Amino acid sequence: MRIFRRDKQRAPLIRNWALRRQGQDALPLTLNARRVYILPTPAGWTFALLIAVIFIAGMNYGNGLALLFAFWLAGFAGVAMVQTQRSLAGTAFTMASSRPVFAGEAANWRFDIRGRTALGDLRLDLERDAPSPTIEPVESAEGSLHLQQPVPRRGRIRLPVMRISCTAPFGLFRTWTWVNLDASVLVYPKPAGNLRVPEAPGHDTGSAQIEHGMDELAWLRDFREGDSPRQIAWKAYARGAPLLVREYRGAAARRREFDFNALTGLDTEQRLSQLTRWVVDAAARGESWVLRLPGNDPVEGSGGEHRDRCLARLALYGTSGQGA
Amino acid sequence: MNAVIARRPMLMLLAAFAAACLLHIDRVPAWCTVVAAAALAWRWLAFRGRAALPNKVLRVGIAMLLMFAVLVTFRTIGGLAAGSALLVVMGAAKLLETRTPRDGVVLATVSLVLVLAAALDRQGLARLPLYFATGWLALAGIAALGNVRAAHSAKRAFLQSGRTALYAIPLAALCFMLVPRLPGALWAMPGAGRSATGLSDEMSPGSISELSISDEIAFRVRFDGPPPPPAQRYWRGPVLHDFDGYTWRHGQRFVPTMDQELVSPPLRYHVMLEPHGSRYLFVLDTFEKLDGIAYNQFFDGEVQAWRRITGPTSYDAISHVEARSTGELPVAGRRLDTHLPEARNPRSAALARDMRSASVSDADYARRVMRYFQDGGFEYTLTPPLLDYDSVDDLLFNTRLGFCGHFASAFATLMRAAGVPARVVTGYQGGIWNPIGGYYTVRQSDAHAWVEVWLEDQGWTRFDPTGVVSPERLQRGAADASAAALANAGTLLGEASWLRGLRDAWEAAGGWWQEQIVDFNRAKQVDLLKLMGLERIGDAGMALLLLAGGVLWALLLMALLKGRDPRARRDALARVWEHFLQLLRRRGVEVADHDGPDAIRRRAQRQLPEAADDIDRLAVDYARLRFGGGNPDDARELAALKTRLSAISRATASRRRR
Repeated sequence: MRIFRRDKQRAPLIRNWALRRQGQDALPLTLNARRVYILPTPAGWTFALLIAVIFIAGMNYGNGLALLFAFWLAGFAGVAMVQTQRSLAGTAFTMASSRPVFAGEAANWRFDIRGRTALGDLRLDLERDAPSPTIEPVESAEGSLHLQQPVPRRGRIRLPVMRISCTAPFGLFRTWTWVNLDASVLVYPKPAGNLRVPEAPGHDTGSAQIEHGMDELAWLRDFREGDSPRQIAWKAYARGAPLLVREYRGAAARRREFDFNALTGLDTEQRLSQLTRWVVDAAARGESWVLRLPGNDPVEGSGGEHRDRCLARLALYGTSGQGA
Repeated sequence: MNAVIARRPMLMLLAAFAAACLLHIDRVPAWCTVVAAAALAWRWLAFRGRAALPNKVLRVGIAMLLMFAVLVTFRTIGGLAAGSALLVVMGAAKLLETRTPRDGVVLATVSLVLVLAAALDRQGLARLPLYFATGWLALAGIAALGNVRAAHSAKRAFLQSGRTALYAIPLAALCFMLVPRLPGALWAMPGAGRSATGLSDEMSPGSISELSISDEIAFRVRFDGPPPPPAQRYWRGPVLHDFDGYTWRHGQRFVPTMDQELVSPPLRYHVMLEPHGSRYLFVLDTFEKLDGIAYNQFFDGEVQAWRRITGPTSYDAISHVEARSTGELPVAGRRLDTHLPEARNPRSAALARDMRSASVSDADYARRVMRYFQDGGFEYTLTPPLLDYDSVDDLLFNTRLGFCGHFASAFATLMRAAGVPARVVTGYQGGIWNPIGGYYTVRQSDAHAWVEVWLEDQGWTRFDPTGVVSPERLQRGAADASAAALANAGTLLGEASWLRGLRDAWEAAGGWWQEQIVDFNRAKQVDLLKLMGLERIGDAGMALLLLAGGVLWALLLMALLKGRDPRARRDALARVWEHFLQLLRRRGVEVADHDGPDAIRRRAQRQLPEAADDIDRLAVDYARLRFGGGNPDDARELAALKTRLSAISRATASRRRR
């Protein structure tokens, strides 16, 4: 960690040069030898000092055995350097992806990697010019490495430049390269806001304008991610039951209308957050809804696919990737 | 690095340090070894959670205390012995704070430096495997710290480091031959601080009741011509002048050097001296000059090197077996070599006066005394009784048992008592031919003492009373001459000729190692280059050759590593298929790893209709060769596949991206 931080002082210059040189990376990406850099680690410098001491002693005392020892260790270091370089060169990224997340959470990147060296010896770091929160790479055994990247804002967030490094097999050298993969994660707006869920006007269920709190309770079902806390059966939970969610009769048949323009008195991001909250809740309840965003055709429907489409629209609203 | 060292790497590091300390066990004070062992035990118990490691204050305290203890023991922290001891105890102190992998690397480095210290101290061929094994252990420890595979398997750690070390050998050999050597040392070897194992500059024969026969090699000699017969091989060392009645000492010597007339033809020989800690050099009789070493020559023919012989040393010498001192013995010399302490050994003095008065000359007297030793009932033994205060009287009139030192001491006393200048010369006598090495081996057991007597007209003349007491001593060496030793050694060494052959071979290997590797110097480097026909290469040429060799080694290394790569071993057919897939990707066809050849073929045909035919044939041929019982190594089939591959590439060239 210390090494990494010290590198930051001079890294941008070299890094920017390297990135300009190697350009954008496309998957699958095999790291060839030309872009893999190598320097001794502190342990490596210690080893070099050791060789120097032995060499000088052997030279001075005319002791062939000590000289032989020094040359042998120097050869060892030379072979170790080639081996270290080869433990990274030839490593291939076959996939880099993260499932969409909500703003404020962390994107969970997964990289499928094939190489010569054990994945546990590889190390991934996110590189940024600005100081970034500490990111611990998690090691996994099945050919993939995982990396958490906090994403504070919605939109299509690119995978930042990463540094992949390795000191195997002897820890005497560190070999590394920068990877600028063409991969991005879709970040939905953070679900927030507690305005009343609007009803579609002139609904034909016969119980229009009735708040769902006054609906007839139909059953309780298991909690699913995205369910509104207001619908959780807290009383049952307090009695020791698992988290259950109240379902109301007729809810599935109800069609809600989520309109960006109807949310007055809020700024754009607040409106998107409120809409996200409603979409998530409605999808969890199995309702159908229509989402109206300025500049977009209204979309109507229900279910997971509809939810994802709506969330994607909300994520990309106002960005260049709109409508994707 | 907040990580801590895992169990296996920790064990290996502890083992490496323990092995490195063992290399020094007979060189450092016992308490250093005890400290190291205690620290090892403490660290291991702490690792197992059965003990706590000391806190920082205590650690610093322990380290200071240990350093102070070394300082008190040796009165210095310079020098090889003190340095080794310091390394051992500081390594032990480091053990107590070894937590992170970086500490582990430091510990492994300390172990390697201890191996270096041992190598500076002793370079024998027999110790080489020990150094090698300890070095390997330390490097395996570094491997176990360095990668997860080695951390989980000691075997892998040893294999990885061993393989890497093996690949390093050609470069090491190349550098060894071609890196230019310094003509001399930059600074002197720190004093080894140990006593000489061979001869000392004192001799008290009466105080020794059992002369241990050490089989250690004193030096090796190679003659440039026919060697002198064994009875004439007297290797002169310290010359003793000062006698107090019991002990012979070197004495103060301010005597002018005398001119010598060299009678016999010169004998040229090369001496390879084992370290003995003092300055003495050994030469055959009267020597003319030495080459390859800085030395002082004294009036009595003694030679001393400028520096203590703490490492293997070799020199060329020219000697003459016969020489005559010309001119008169200087007054100071006569006084020095006729001096006897007052009122000591009175019976011997009386005997000397009697015998001298019965002789016509000093030479006649000396021969008479020799006859006295021959016929006086004296016996040679390595286990003589202890002698009285008047040691010569006791030997001549009571015990009559002794070894070379006793007889030389008595002979010189008898000479001096009659006013004949005499001095005791110590050194070695004999040497055994090693047919494999082509040299003579002189051992500590060949140590000898004899007397030189000043005779008018002849100058200094050698008399060896031991030779008349026990003629075998001169023919076969002390071990064989001693009757008791004969009974044992006769069966052990004398009879078992194959054993002797084995010993000769081992010694010859040791000699070669010593001379060609350990003592490899600038002169030998020049010789080696001459042997390769490169005598005019010069330093720049050597550097160039080294560079070229290094590049060649690197290329070989790359090829070797590539050959070990499992992906490179894939057969030619797989490579063609791989190229095909790469081409498809370049042309925008998505190919996933899990796609079979058939799925790929159909997709490629759909997306690249202009090359559909060739794609079809290529995929079908591939499937037939790979799965359908065809020969995947058939050169003609492979060539056909490659042709088809380039046809597809040409046909779809317009789709090239970017």
